[in-house]
Amino acid sequence: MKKPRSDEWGGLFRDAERLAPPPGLWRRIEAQARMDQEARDQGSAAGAAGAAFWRNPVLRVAASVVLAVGFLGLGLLLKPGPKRMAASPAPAAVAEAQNAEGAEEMELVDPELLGWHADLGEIDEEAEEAEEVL
Amino acid sequence: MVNWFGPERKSIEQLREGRLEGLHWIYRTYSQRILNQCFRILLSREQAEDVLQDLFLKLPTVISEFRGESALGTWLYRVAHNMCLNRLQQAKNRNKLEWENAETLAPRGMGNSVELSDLLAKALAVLDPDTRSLLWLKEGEGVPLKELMEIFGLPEGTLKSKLSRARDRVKDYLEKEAKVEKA
Repeated sequence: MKKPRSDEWGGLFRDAERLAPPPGLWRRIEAQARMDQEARDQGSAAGAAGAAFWRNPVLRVAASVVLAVGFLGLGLLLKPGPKRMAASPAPAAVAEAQNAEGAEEMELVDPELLGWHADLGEIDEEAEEAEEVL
Repeated sequence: MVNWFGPERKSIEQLREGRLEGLHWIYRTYSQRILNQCFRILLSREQAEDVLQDLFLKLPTVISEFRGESALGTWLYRVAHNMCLNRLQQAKNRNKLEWENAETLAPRGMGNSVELSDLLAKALAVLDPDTRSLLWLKEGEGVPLKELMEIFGLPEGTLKSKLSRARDRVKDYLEKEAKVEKA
């Protein structure tokens, strides 16, 4: 079999099916593009407002002062003051207080209740032995 | 190069200014050619229309990357070509097992339809998507070799040999088909 001649080859491509974009496609693209455009415009408007704020010298000074005061306050809050150091109790006193709290907690456990728990264990063992015998 | 005194320049400027008239002109001028290029790469009308829509929605943003060093049509062909190959790659990653036979690359993992309605589509399906795109643009759209070099980023010699091999493969396929029909 001979290979296709050049005119046949050309015809193969020339006569091939050509698709056309569907009629509604442009309308969909246009609607979406319009929405995207509006979103971009809103974004740039917000950016422009921000830029205008920083261009105003009075507002810029005011914002700087607020920032500086804020940092100063934060610094004062975080710095450990000498009064607070003096007011804190000595480590020995703290340990004593913790021991006293521990003793109170121990008293909260009822010794009778502990005995009842032990009895319960014995009863279980007896029951197991009885089952084994059966 | 862009025709800086024609409607092409005007539409690009309009698009850069955010006016949709520019986008509409480009759509009217190039959408059919791009759709057919995508169809020849993806072998699916549905997928080709999806890529066309994506491209035109991204165009108002990506037009900033167009520097006018090539014709707008050439640049659009290149963008469409890359978008189609990306889509095929994504589908391939999703359905690796279905894509084992890369030689006869029919996009089975891409959805419902592999539209092989005409003989050419069947013949082109024996080529890989990149070569399908090249052969279609050369033979179907008549894109000159110089522009093809820009679209594919390949030197002339490489393009010519790639085209020659592609033609041979398609012709071989057509011969086999003709023999089967006769038998």
